[in-house]
Amino acid sequence: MTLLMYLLHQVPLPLLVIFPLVLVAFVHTNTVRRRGWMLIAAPIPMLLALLLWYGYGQPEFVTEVPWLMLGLHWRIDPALAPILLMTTLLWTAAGTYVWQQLRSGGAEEPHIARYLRCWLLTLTGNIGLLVAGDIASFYTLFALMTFAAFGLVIHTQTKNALFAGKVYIVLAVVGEGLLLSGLIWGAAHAAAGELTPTAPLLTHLPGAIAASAQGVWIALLLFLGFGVKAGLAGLHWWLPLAHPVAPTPASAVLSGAMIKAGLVGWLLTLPLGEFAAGGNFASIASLAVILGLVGAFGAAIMGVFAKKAKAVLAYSSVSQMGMITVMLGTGWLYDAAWEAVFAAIVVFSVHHGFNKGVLFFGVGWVGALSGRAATLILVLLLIPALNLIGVPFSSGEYAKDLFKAVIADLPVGLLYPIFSAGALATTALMLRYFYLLRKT
Amino acid sequence: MTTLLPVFVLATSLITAVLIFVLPERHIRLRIGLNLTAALLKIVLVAVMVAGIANQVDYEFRYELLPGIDLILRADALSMLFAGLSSVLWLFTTVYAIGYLEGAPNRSRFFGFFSLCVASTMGIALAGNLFTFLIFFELLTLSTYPLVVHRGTEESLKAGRTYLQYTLGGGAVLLVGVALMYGLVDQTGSMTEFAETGTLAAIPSEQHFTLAVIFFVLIAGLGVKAALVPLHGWLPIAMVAPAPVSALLHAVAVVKAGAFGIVRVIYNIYGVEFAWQLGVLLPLAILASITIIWGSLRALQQVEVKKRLAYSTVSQVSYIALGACLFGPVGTIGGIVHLLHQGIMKVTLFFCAGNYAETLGIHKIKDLDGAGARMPLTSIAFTLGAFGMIGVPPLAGFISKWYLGIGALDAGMSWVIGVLILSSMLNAGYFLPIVYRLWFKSRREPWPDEHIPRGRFETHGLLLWPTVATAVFSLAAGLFAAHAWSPLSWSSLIAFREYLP
Repeated sequence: MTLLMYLLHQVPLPLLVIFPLVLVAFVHTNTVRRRGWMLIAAPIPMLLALLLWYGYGQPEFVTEVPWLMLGLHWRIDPALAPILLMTTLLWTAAGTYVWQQLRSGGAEEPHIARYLRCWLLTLTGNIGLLVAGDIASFYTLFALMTFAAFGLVIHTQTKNALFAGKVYIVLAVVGEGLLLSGLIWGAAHAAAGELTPTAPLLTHLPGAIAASAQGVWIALLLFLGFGVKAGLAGLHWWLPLAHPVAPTPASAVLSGAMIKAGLVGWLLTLPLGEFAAGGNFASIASLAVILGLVGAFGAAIMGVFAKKAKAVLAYSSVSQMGMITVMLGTGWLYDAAWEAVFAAIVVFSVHHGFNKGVLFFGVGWVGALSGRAATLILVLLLIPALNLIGVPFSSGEYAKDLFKAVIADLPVGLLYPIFSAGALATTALMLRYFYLLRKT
Repeated sequence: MTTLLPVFVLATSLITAVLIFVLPERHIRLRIGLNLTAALLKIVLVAVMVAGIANQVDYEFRYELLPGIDLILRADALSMLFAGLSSVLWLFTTVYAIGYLEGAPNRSRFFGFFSLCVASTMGIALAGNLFTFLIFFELLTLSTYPLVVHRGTEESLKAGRTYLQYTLGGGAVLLVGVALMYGLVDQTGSMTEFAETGTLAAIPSEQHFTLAVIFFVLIAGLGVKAALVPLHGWLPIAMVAPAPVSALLHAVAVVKAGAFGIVRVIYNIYGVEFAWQLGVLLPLAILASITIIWGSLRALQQVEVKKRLAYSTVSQVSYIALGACLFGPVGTIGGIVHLLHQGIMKVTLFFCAGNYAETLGIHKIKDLDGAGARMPLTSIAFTLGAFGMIGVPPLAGFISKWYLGIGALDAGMSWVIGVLILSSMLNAGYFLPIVYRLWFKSRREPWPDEHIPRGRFETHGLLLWPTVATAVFSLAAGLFAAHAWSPLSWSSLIAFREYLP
């Protein structure tokens, strides 16, 4: 065990993140069939390190490389570790799905090598941004994930996929622009005229934004910039277009893991909790609540008219992220309750990531099977569906109750019953999902 | 030795130029050997001076031509940035040009003027006062003209005429500006010497209006080469030149000479603080911003690879002028470091454009479909360059934009952020479709004109390896930005010396 302990302290985080990037170099069109294991292996080192880290009671785990980029500072953030765990597990599971596809003839598809490369690049960005602690490398990995995921969205190269890709890339570029301006603006305040470091740590941003006279605008830029990824209502258009056309495992990680990157961006950079004391950000927080509610219920209405099971799931993701946005906005408004809300958000996003991932896999499984096996899968898929709805004794109920317990004591008026009614929206979407699945 | 080193650096290319002119056309190997030896020797000399300047050694050569007018060659931190860029890129461009022009006629003439052009660039980098700067600035015009018209076709001769009209006109305006400076302000010749923190701050306030006027005359003269709108017309037309020439014109020699001149005037003649008090920086910043947006908008409309890159240059070079106008060390770093970053990224992109043209006969963007599979290394290099220009980390362009953005906020010009972001999006608008065509579209018809069949590598090694090398530089400059020997750190050193007297 001391060896493991030694490894945990000596293996720098960048190596764990770079590992999938190295694998990219070994993908080749002729050998794709035998390289499926790479997708499973890619997130494993990070997963193992994370489990070890949990096993040893969450010690401080930081790697600093001052000469890389604008000063690299990577760490495992205890508060976000559950999301990191969910992300690595989901990528591993989705990788296994692709591996299975490759073994059963998927290797003959056109552009399969490109797909694998984009997969590994997206994975690098997605996992890496969760451990990046400085602004520059966080934004680097975020951008890597964003641009590489384009290759996953358009993989099938159908007309719809290309259109979805176009919408995706336009929204992504707009989002990156908003994000970069917000980050530069925030970093300028955090650096406060000092020459070094000009790219401060992410943890310095919320305080700097809160102290700035234009803090509201900086926060708005960041909120909208990350909102593109997080499926914020109004910036969500790419989600229902991209999910039905992307390959099933790609949709699973897109909706389960990548969408959470936007949320993580919010949690890391926005002036939440103590920094929101005094109500300076009440306007954006209210905006978050409103857009969250629009997303939560609007997406349900759009979703029940969707024609494809995966589109329904995409709308469901927008709806669920809307609920998370409501939670974020509420916690932002009532800064004293933030810590409890934060915990609820993390639990909710981990719960959503797993269950949504499984529901996406389900679309693929049901499509591939027939007869009794398909029925069995349908029945089993009830579990994640009921989880999402939040029936008693489900992960959904636990996650939602965490939040409801917080707002029960707050003067939020109608928000409590409205938030509870979110379960109805989810139920409608899940019914539609099963209806469409059975039809196929 | 410290007095003669700047002269030696200049001489390496000047003597090479003379020798190549003397050497008959058929001595190919000797010419190549001569070229490469000189290029390597120069890199060594520049490296020695860089190390010396980091340790506060002064390298200065001074020769009095007339009373009050000296020829000064001096190496300071800023000149080493430009000299370093030119000497390294000269080596790569020479190697590239050898491959590109293999078997073509008039190579002796080409490489002769090529060396002369680099000699002028070195002179511009090392010039210690306005007068010396002017001489090499004009010499650069004359030595690049034969390169632009090298092919001798009707089209290239016409482009050459336009080029001469613009640059000679700009040179004349610059001459007027310099003459005004010597005549009205500085009869002793001491104030037109480039000095850290500037020389003019002590001028009594009655002359401030004159100084502001002279400033804009100088900028107008320099702005032609720096391709400031509306003086940028020559740049896209000069694209008829062979690829290595375009690469050199765009990345190092001509546009950079203009941008470098602007930086010199602001920092080492006026002094950024004094220029800020004069109020001349804001108009220039606005002009640079207009250029940035205009260049990007025009680039969007182009259908030829090189034309699109040309308008992209118009846009990107103005980042340097913009950074020079931001009063504050961070903005200064951003502008100066972009001088180098834009150079390595743009040279990469032009090498790639040349590779596509030479190997597959591709000139139009629509013919690039599926080129990624045929020429993977070139296409990776192009992708890195394109993403760098957009400002995606960890590439060099991101570092520039980051510093420019923070510098703008420190200078109280937050609108510049809007310009930077809008420009980034427009860059994405005209670069991402190319990247998309390279990697995501598949080839249906044969290549327009395949000259070089796929051998061990995708194209001729002499074309490929310089491209790969500069692409690696573009990545490394961003990835190792915080390292002590990065362009960023060197620019920080320049900024420190400018702001801390």
